[in-house]
Amino acid sequence: MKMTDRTKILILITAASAAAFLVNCFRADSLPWIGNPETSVSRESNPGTSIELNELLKYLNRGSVFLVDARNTGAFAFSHLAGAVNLPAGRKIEHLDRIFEMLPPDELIIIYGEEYPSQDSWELAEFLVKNGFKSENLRIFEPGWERLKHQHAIPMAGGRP
Amino acid sequence: MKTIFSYSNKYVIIILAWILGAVFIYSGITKIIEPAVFAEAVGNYRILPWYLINLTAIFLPGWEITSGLALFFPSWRRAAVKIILILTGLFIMAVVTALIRGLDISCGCFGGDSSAVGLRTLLIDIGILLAGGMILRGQEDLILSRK
Repeated sequence: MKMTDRTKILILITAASAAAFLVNCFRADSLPWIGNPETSVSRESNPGTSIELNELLKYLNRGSVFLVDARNTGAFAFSHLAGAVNLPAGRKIEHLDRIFEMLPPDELIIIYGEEYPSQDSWELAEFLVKNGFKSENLRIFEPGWERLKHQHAIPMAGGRP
Repeated sequence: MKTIFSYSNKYVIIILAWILGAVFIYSGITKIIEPAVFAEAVGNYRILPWYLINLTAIFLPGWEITSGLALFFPSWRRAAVKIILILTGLFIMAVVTALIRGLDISCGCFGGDSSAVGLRTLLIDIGILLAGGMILRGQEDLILSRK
């Protein structure tokens, strides 16, 4: 019996789906079939502590703080806080292998994103916690770059907006 | 006229099919190894509703591997390449919307080893689309020449 392409496509998709179903049923790190609607990470999930501008300035003056810019690479290249490393929240999985080279897990880390409520910063904080960083060492500056760019007393790198 | 690069040159078609098959098998395996990483990459595109993100991450790698494997078997090649063309077409649409929205995200093409979504991703996928088109056309020519 000669099968049409449509039948073959149906067979391939069915076989693949059945195999994927079984693999996900029996693997140790299986994904839940339906994800969590509350995918957005926020301060309620507690991956770090939100800080205000005066606290950020205090930490910067004290030194020995690591700054992480969670904005996209283009925005970071244009201007960022001096000494900050760029870890775009949407591309954090690319940096998974190098995360401990980029950031010290036992030091204080301040994360900032584009603007309030800095969803990207919270996501990045949760990612760091999941990968071995302590939430008590993570600080989120929620007002983000929108607020920072007007702070002319803070040293910047790149061109000022 | 049948040249070395002709659609009808069966060796070109076979080699292209094998390369494309290997790419899809590799791509599927890298996604299966770390399902949570791939689910996150799917979610980053912000296209699918939340209830489809994990299902996509679970089933898509299986479709990639199966169609990649089927490309190695001549009688299944046309069906496999049609699946690949549909998957690649959908992925190109996702990449274009991500680029238009200015998302700085990982493309998720090869699990955790993926690069950022950009023009390069788009060009590679257009290349895959063209290769798939060549395989489909070549297979049809081969069938016609046998009749």
